[in-house]
Amino acid sequence: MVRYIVQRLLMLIPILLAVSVVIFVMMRILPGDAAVAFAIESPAELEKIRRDLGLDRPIYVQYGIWFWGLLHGDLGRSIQLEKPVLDILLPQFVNTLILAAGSFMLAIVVGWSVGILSATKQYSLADRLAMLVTLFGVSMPAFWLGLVLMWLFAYELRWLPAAGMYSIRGDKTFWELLNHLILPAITTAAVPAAVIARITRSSMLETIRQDYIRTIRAKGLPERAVVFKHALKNAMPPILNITGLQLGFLLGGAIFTEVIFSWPGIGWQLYSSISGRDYPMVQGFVLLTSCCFVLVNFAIDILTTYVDPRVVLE
Amino acid sequence: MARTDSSTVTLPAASTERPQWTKKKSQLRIAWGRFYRDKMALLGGIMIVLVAFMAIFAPYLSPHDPYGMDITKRLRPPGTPGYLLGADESGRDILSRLMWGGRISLVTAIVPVIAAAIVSMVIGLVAGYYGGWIDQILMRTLDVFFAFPRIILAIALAAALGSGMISVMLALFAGLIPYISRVAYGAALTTKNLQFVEAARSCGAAGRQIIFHEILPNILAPVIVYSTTLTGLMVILAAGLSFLGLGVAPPQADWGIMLDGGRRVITIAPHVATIPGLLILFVSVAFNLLGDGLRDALDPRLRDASE
Repeated sequence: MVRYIVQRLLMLIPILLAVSVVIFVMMRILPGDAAVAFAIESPAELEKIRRDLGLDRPIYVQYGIWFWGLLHGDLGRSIQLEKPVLDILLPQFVNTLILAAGSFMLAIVVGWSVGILSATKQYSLADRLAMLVTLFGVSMPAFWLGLVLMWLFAYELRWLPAAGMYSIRGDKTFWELLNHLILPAITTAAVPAAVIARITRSSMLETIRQDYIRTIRAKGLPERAVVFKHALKNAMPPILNITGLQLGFLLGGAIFTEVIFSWPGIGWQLYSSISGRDYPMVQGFVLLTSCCFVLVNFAIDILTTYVDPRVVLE
Repeated sequence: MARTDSSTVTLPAASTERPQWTKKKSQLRIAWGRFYRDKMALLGGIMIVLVAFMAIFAPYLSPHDPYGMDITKRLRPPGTPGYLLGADESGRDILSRLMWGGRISLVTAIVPVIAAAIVSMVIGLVAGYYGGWIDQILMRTLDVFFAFPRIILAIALAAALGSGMISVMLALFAGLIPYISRVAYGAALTTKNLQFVEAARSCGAAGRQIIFHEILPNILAPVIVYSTTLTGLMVILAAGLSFLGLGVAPPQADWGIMLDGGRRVITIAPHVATIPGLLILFVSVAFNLLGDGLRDALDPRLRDASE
């Protein structure tokens, strides 16, 4: 087990290296390099800025310099805000994590319980209803759902706040935060919850059909023990896998939520960085989220082997 | 994403161990029969045809000029005479804009999927059939892209390519290739080791012949099924990129831009944002239904294994 973890950890190095190369290439080779973002008219001035930014040197040298900076936590400077990218992104990243954590918990609770309920009561009215709702869930444009929720609950019913993490004048209490988190979390969690519910249902159904479950039932074990103790345990690996993947996708989906609800996270920042052509910021954003995604996937792999030790043997 | 009504298990084509390659026609007919019986899938297909029809014939069907502003009609609610779905923040007819916007939104979503499916099949076939270093180089390179969440990859690419319909399509196309290639590759690997391929090889068939005549027909089904399901997601993603300001530039309208426009007036006129969003949802549901139906019809073994 320890050996497996170390192996997987070592595999992270080439992946992260490759990720950095891809991001670098995407941002540098494709049209519209960073110097253009300064919107300078005269060619001489453009040339000077190119030189200052090191854009006139060979591409692999540029990468080397950039990567060396990366190792030292230097993601470049924001063109718009004229501050180091990391200094801007890190505090906002905490806010994004709060949103992601809330949404993820919601998605797990809803997804797992709906999936298990649907599987144990296959073809019942509840099951059919759940499958219909999740069909709409997996097809949902989250940014639209967010707008509708905001209009309904914030403007029409006035139950919940429409924007931000805290009220402007209020104290920064936990309840304030929770109150502001509800609508964004539902928006972000809707699609993942539906995906998780569907995979939970099908994985549970597959397990419940197996012979050993019939044997346990024949032994007279109460249904609850059959479902939770025996079936769920064996249905877990694919469920965990998809659930974990959703955490990664949450980070992407959160962008739209943050824009709609003015949640001061990195997605919200990305929105203004895109319109301001602030490439170092966009680059930093992509780097940060993809590193998270890689680490999350790593954690899931380890967790999966913990639940299903057969994986290590393969 | 699995619908598990067990209607296909008893059908002869689903249960035979060895598919019957010689009877190509009957295979297709069996698949069509299964698809036709699948009411939900048929519904999905009809929904898509309906929207596509509306978009294709927008010049003849749309009641107003989609770009014609009439400030006196600003934010008219749905049901206003002459403005069935109301008017937007500039007084433009929403129905007409939906029809015209469909031309952009649907093309932006569907073309990358088709292009990516073709390229991915080539990658999957070559990597899967030849194996060795070609396989290693191709598939390990694509592996890297799985390190990016799909939305982030699309955003990064679209941001790097600059805004516009073509760059969004390129971004979606590039983001799709790793995913579809993996499906094509997996199917090619499985097929490669089946007996009938071995039979063809022992009959002296050339590599090219085996790839195109033996393996390709067998990876088509999973690729088509997966691509169809992805199309719904691409409609959403394309609209999402427009929403973030990475898509086509206003006043040209697609559904994402309409949504973004409606966002600014959501407090006073919620219909402006709600209606295009509903249409995106409608199309996305349709592609999911169609995808599920195609999966059950073309390759029942795939059910439950997807997602």
